[in-house]
Amino acid sequence: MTDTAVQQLIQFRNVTKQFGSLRALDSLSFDVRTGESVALWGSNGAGKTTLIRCLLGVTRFDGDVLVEGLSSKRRGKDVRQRIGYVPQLMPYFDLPVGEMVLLITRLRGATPREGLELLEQFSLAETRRNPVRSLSGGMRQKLALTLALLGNPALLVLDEPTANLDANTQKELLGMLNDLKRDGRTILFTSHRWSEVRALADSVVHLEKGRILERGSVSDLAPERDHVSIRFEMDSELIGRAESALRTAGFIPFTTESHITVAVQDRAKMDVFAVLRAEDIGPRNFDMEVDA
Amino acid sequence: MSLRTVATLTQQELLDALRNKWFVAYAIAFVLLCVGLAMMIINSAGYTGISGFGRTAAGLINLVLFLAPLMGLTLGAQALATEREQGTLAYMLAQPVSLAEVFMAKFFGLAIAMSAAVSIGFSLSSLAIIYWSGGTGVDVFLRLLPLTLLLTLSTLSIGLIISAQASKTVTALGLAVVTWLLLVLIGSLGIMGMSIVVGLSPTVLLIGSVINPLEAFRIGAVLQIRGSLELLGPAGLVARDRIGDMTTAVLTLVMIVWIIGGAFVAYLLARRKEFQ
Repeated sequence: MTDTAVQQLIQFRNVTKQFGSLRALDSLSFDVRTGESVALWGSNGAGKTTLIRCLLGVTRFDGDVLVEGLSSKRRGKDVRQRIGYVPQLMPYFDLPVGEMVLLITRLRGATPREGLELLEQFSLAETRRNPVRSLSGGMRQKLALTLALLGNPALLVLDEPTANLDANTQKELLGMLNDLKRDGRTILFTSHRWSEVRALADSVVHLEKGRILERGSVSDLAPERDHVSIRFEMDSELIGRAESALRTAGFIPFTTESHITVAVQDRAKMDVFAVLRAEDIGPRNFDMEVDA
Repeated sequence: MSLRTVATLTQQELLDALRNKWFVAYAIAFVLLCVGLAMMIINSAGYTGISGFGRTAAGLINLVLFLAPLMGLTLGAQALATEREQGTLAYMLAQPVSLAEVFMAKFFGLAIAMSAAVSIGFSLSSLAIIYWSGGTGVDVFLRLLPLTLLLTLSTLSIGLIISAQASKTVTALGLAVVTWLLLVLIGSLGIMGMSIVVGLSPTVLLIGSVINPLEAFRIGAVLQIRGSLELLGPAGLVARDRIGDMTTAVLTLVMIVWIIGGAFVAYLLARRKEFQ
């Protein structure tokens, strides 16, 4: 293994995947450094999951993906040994949680003690005798994360990890992932939600239609992506004028009897105040909520 | 290929088989029907002696021809299709295992579970015969056991071929039942009908019959228990005439080829489907 391979934990090299006449991935090349948390961000059908399948070596493709210098095409099993994988939704296995942990423990060369400790850590120890299929969506995702950490893999790969979870469970899982990130774990995850990318990633690869649209750090891309909702409280006779002025300026306000709310990109928030000031409209109060 | 991984996965497949209600139902049905037949042997030996025993032995062949292929085909057909449908196969393949290891474990796990069910059925029946009738007729069960195991595993391989291609369990099960009907019909009525209508040559009749594992079992079983020659049917008579003493060996080879060749074809098809 070369130093470059260690520093660049994953190297995507001209990865191209064709489904019939559809080019799902078009010559993608980028690297993921050790300890980095990278989001593959894009809409549905952008090619995120297909790229994960190439990384895992479970689909045929052109080009190559190297993990610690090992090709996922030729050394798929060795590559998967280095990857802890969390699917979008942990499948409905019939076997009990304890048996599932034991199975993956054996396959990943971990110790049963490690499995038990992780179950305790993620508050799943009491579910050991329950079939996996009987767990709630959130519990199953926590189990998937537990299983992914068995054998202490160098890389954690997550495919839309919170897509099917309620807001509270999303927050809890993202908290766990952030703890892992702070411990120096390399994370590659897919998401179509900026809020999730914002919460977990250091850098972003923006994919659309199988191509990289942009690549950069979250802080570089955030001003373009972050949105804020500004809610003004004002006298009811001013609401109509304010709405008209904001619409003329290109905003889409939402009004009630005493409030007017506008959602804008973070970098454009001062423009809203400027519009109101130009019309000599003074709100009584305002509050602001960051959508990200 | 890691034998340790295959062993771990096979062990899991065996546990899964015990949780599979289809397998449990087949196993219980097989054991009960075998023991029921044993009781018939015991009763008929008291009244009609060896002739009654011959009839019951034919009944055992028919029981095996009915149940063992149905078990092999349907359980084999569900093996990959159900896991594919539930997403569990994709999840397992994201672990440090190869498709070859997963596939081998599926085959071995199901093969061991089904062989155990068949062996338990035959053993309990043999014990019942030994206990109540002093062992008269127990040799029928013992002689038919190896051929029954071969038939079960042959149809398991055919079931796996179906499973390798099917994306949904319901499709796989439908195809398995249709295949079972075709094998049963081709084995008896089909070949006989065609030999009359088309005028098949004895050699074609023989090949057409024995490539069907059900027919290979039937002919082999009749020869094994030395039942009445009428039970051999046209293909069996041609086989005995052409191959002579080697007939059982050839039929056994046919079933072994189905087991190994079928499983290999199923693996290739599964690999093509999974890695597309």
